[in-house]
Amino acid sequence: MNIRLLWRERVLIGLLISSGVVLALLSDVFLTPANLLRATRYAAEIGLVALPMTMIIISRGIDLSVASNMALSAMAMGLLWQRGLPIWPAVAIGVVTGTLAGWLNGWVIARVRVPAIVVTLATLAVYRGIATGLSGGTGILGFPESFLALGAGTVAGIPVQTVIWIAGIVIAAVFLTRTTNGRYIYGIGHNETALRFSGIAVDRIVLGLYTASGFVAALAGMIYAARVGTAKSNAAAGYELSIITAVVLGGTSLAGGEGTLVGTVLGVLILTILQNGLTLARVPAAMQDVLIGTVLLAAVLTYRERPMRKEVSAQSTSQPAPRRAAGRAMSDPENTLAAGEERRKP
Amino acid sequence: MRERGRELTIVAALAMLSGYLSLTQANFRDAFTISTILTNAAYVAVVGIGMTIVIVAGQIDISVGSMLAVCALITGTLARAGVPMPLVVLASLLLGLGMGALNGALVAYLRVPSIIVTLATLTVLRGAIVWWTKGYWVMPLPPGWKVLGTTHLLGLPLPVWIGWAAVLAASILLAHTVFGREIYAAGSHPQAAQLNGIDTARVTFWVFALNGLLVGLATMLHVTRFSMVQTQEGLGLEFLVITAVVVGGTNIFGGSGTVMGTYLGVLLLTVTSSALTFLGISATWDQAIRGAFILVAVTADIVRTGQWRQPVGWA
Amino acid sequence: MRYRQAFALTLTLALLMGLAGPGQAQKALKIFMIPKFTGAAYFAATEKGAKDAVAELKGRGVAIDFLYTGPSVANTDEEIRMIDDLVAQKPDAIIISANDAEALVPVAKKAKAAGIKVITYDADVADPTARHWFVNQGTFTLVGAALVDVVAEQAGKNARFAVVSADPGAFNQNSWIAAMKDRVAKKYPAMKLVDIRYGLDKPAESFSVAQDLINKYRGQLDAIIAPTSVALPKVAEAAEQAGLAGKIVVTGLSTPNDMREFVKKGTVKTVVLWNPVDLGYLAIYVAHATITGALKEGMAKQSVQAGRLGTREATAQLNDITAKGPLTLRNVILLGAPFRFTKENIDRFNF
Repeated sequence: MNIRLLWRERVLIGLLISSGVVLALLSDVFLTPANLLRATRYAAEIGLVALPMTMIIISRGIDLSVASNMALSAMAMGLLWQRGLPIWPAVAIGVVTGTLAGWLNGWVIARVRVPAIVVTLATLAVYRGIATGLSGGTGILGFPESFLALGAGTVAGIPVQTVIWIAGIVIAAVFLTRTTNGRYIYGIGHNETALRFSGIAVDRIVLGLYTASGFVAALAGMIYAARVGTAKSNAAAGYELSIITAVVLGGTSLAGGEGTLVGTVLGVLILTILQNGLTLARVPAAMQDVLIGTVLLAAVLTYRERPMRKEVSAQSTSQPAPRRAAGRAMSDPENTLAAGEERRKP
Repeated sequence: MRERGRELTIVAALAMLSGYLSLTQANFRDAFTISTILTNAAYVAVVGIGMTIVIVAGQIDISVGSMLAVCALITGTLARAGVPMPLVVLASLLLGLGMGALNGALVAYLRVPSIIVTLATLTVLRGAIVWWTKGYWVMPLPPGWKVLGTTHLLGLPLPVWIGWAAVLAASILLAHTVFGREIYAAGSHPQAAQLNGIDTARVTFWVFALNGLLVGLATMLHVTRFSMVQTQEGLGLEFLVITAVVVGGTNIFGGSGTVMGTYLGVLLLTVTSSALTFLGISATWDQAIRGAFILVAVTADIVRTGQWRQPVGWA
Repeated sequence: MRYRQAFALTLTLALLMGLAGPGQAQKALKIFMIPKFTGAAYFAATEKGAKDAVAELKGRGVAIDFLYTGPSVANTDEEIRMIDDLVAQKPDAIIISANDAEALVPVAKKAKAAGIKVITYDADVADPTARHWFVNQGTFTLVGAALVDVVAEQAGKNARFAVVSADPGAFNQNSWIAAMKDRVAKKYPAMKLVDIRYGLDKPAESFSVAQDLINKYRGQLDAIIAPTSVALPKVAEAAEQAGLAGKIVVTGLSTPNDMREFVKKGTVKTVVLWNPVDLGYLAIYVAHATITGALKEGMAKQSVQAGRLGTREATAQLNDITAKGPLTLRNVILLGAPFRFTKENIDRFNF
C-alpha cells in the first residue's frame, strides 16, 4: 500500500488542522471528545453517501438523486412499519427499495444511455415526489428504541453511525484501490471507449456503481430516520449538494478519472468541523455560508499548483498524464480530460 | 446545423398538453391565462438563454438564483433611494454582468471548474443577502418601478416581448456570428478549438459575463411585476432553468443545443405546472409527476434519435 | 510558507481571543434563541422583542448572555445540527421555533435531558414531553377560525375559497388549514374550500399558483387565504394583475410592515397575525421564569409575569386542532387571540 499523500490531500490536512486550531481558540467546547464525536454523527450520513458518489464522479458520472432516495427508502420503511410489519424486516425492505431505485438510475444510464445528470435530476424529483405522495407530507413517528439506536446509540463510546461510516470507508477503499473493477472505474472516467474496446463490461460496472449508491443512500436514509426519530418525505432535503461539495472539496474532479476516498473523507470532515465550530463560535449561519463557500473556492484553487503527474502515479496505475503533457494546461479544467474526444457523439 | 428533432418533440408535447387543456378547460384558452403563462415563462427563459450558452460552451452556472436575488434586492434599494428607473435597469444589467464576469474570471483564468465556482458563489451570494438584509424585504417601491413589468404592448406585457427579442437575438448570436461559432467549438472540443486559434479562455469568460448580463435583464423582467422585492427571490431557480435547458435538448456536456429548444423547454415546464392546477391533480404528487415527465420526455427523445450508443458518462 | 501563514493567523486569533475572553460577566444566564431561519422580518421581529425583554431583565439585575441564531434559510437539518452544537455550550435555556415538529423531537429531548430548559415558540415540537413550555402565539383553532371569519364577513357565508400554502409537509400551515376546515364545517356549512395549492415558500412559485387558481376558477372563486407570509403578497399581486383587486377577498398571515401597501390600497382588507415582537418578548420571560423555577412544568394554575405584557397564564392543557386531528396541547402559555390588521389600525404597528 502506497500511503504517500497527494498534494491536495496535504492541503486538506493542513486546512483541517488549522481550522481545528482556530475553532478551538474560538470556543472552549469545540475541542472536547464529546463534541467531536457528536459532530461525526452528522458527518456519517453525508460521509457514507459520499463514498459511492466519489466513485461515480471518478467514472465521470453523477448521482443527484441520493438525498431523495434517502427520503424514499426511509418513507418505505416507515409506511411498512406503520402498517404492522416488524421494524427490522421493514428496514430491510426500505434498503431494498433504495437499492432498486439506484439500480433504476443505473439501468437508464447504462442501458438506455441517458446522461446521468439528466436521469438523476429527474429521479431527484421522482423519488422525493413518490415519498411525498405516499405520505401526503406527514411524518411517521414512534419507532422502537432498538431502531433509534442506529441514529443515537453508541458502540464503545463511538456513535453507531460513525462505526458504520468507518466500515464503509474501509470497504470502499479496498474495492476502489485493490480490485480490478475498482481500478476500471478510473479507466471509465479517463477513456470509456478504450475500455469498451478492451472488452471490459463497462455497462455492468456502471450499473453496479449506481446500484451501490442507491444501497448506501438507503442505509443513510435509515440512519437519518433513526437520528431524527421520524420518517418524512422532506428528509435530508438538499443533502445532494453537501455531498457533492464534500467530494469536490476532497479533490475529485467532476471531469472524471481522478479522485481519492481519502480526499473525500477529509472533505466531509472539514465541512463538518467548520459548521460545528463556527456555530459554537456563534458565527451567524449566513456568515458561515459565505465562509464555507470561500473555503471551497480557495481549496480548489490550490489544487492546481502542483503538476498532476505526481497524483496520478501515486494512486493510479492506469494512464499516467499524457493530457498534462499535451499542453492542455490553458484550457478550462472541466474539459481537461483525455476522454474529451470520446465524450462527443459518434 | 443540428437536427431539429428535439424542438419538434417538445412542440408536439406542448401542443398535446395545451390542446387537451383548452378542450377540457374553458378558462385555459382564455387570453389572460395564456398571457400569464407567457409572462411567467419570460424571465425564466431569459435566464435559460444564458444557461444554454454557458452549457453549450461546456460549462455550467448554478449561481443564477442567487445572482437574481442580489440584482433584485440592490436595484430595489436603488429605486427606493430615488434613482430613475432607466438607471436602475442599467444597474441591474451591470451588476449581473459584474457577477457573471467574476464567475467567468475564476473559471477561465484561474481555471477552477465552473460547477465549483458557481456552487461557491451560489452559497456566498445567498448568505451575503441574508446577512445584509436580515430578511427585510425591500419596499415600498416608487410608482415607476412596475412600469416595465406591467405595461402592455399589443395585448401582451413587455417582459414577454423582451423575452422573445432576447431569444431571437441569442439565436442569431449563436448561429450566425463568429463568437457563436467559437462557443460551440469551445464546448465541443476545446483542444481542437485552441489549435484553430480560438482563445477558449476568452470565450469562457465572456460566456459567463453574458450569462450574468442576462440574469440582470431577467431580474428586471421578473421583479418589476411586483410591488416589493422579497429576499427569497430566485430560490431554486437554477434547478428549474437547468431542467428546462436539458429538456430543450442542449447537451449537458457542451457543444450542442439551441436557445429555441430552451425556450420551448421553459414553456413546457410552465404549462405543465399550470396544468396540475387546472386538472386538479393532487399537489402532493406534483413533484413525482414533473420528474417522471422529464425522464419520459428525455428518454423518448434519446430512443427516437438512436443517440443511445454514445458513451455512458454524464453526457 | 503556507504553514507559517496559518501559524501566524492562529497566533493572532489566539491573542484576540485572550483579550476578548474575560469580558463576559461570570453569572450571566445563557439563553439561546433559534428561529426557523434568520432571513425573515417576522423572526427579526421576535428577536427584537426578545432583546427588549433581555434589556429589561438586565435593568432588574439579571444578566443574560443572549444569542439569536438560526439557519439562513428554512432548513430542518441545519436547525437540528445547530441546536445540537449549541447544547454543547450548556446554555441555561434554549428557545426554539421548529422547522419540523417531528424531526426536532430527539434533539429537544437531548437538550432537556442535559438539564437545559427547553422552550418552544412560534412552532412547537410534536412531543410535549420533549420541552418544558410552548409559548403559543394563538392556537391553530383560533387562527384558522379568524381567517375563515374574515372570508365570511367580506365574501359572504357561502363563499368559495382556495388556499395557497407553503409546502405539503408544513405542519403549521397544514394545521391552520385543518382548523379552517373545522370552522367551515361547524359555523359556515355553505362555504366551500375548493382547492389547496403550494407555493413552496418561493415567491415566483407562489405567484404562479395564485394566478393558476384565479385563472382556473375565474368568476367562481370568492377568496384566497394564504397562511404564509411569503405567499400572501404574491397572491395579492396576482389578484391585482387579474383586475380582481377588491373583487376577490385576499387574506392570510403576515406582518403589517410586509402588507402595509396592500392593506392601504384595499387589495387586502384584513391581515391576521399575532404580534411577533410580543411573542419573542414573552418567550424570554417564560425562559427566565423556567430557569428560576417560578414556572414549574406540569403544575396547573400558574402564571408568568411578563413585563409590559402583564400576566400570562400557564396552561397545563389546551385543546387545539392540528394537521393530525384534535390535539391536547400540554404546558402552553398563550400570547392571546390573533389580531386583525386593517386600514384603520395598521399604522400603529411597526414590525
